[in-house]
Amino acid sequence: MHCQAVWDFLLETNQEDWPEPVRAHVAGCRACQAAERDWRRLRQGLAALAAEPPPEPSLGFSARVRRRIEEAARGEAGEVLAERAARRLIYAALLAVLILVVCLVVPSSGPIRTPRSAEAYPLPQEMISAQNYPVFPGQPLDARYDFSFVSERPERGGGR
Amino acid sequence: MANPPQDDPEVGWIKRAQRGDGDAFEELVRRHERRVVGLVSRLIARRADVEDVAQEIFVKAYLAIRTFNFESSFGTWISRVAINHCYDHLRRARASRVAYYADLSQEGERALAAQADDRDRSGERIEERIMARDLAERLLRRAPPEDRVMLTLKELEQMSVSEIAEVLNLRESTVKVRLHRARKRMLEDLKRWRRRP
Repeated sequence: MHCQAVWDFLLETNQEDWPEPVRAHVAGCRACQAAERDWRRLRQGLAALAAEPPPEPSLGFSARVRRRIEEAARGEAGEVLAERAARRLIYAALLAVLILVVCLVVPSSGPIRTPRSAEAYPLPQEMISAQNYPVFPGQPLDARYDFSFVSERPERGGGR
Repeated sequence: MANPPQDDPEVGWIKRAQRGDGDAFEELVRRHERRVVGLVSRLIARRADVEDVAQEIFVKAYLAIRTFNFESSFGTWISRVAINHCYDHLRRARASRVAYYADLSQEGERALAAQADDRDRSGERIEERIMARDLAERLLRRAPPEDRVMLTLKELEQMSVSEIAEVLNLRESTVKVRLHRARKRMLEDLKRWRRRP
């Protein structure tokens, strides 16, 4: 029989309850005899500890607990308030950052021009062509013609 | 939520305490302070810390009393809170310990050495009993927190396996295994200490 298996009996049962193979092993094994002796003494020591009465709570223990609970409750309420204030501060800061980012990204004036709305405004050369003046790519504009109407851009929001 | 026994006055105090009644909770503290202080004194080595830790346990219990659902007795519940709190306390204390054998005084070492050399098997002498008690206390103090909790509940509080299982919210088979391991480690710790140069 292996010593570890003997230890299992030794730790869980009293000597008188050991089966015969365990008794025979312990009788011939010095290590198991020492372990049995140690465990017996430890059990004896634990029994002596168990027999000692535990200390009594001191006078006014419950009143002190109550005071401590009241302090804890006050502390908890303070913590809740502080946490709420801190959370609001964080939300306000996040909102301010968001507004700042939006202001930086979006153009400072005018409506947002999508490519489609940009197409609604004809280029100057196309406008000139529309006045029966053929303009070919690379050809300079003729100075004899009045191009003042080119600067007359259609009103904003007129296109789509 | 389980149905609480209606004839037990404690049920009324618990319900009032759950609504925030401090007087009712103080009554519960008075009823269970001996149990909690006793349990803490056996789990926590430093006597100076016992009352402080016991107070912390009751504060924790007050803040969590709304979660008590009458499935177990209030005594079992407060014991569970106490054991968990002591377990955390022991783990913190163990984490701050520098050396494994650091808490053994020279006097304690001499006592252990004398114990180791003593071959008298009678075990009846008072000196031997005192030394055995000292040895058990020191080994218990050095044990890992989970072993210490198990051995304290079984050997010192003399609770049954089923009671330990209820308090720790474990299966009985788990408690048996952990208890066996704790005993084995305690015995091995003693042997290891003896082999120390």
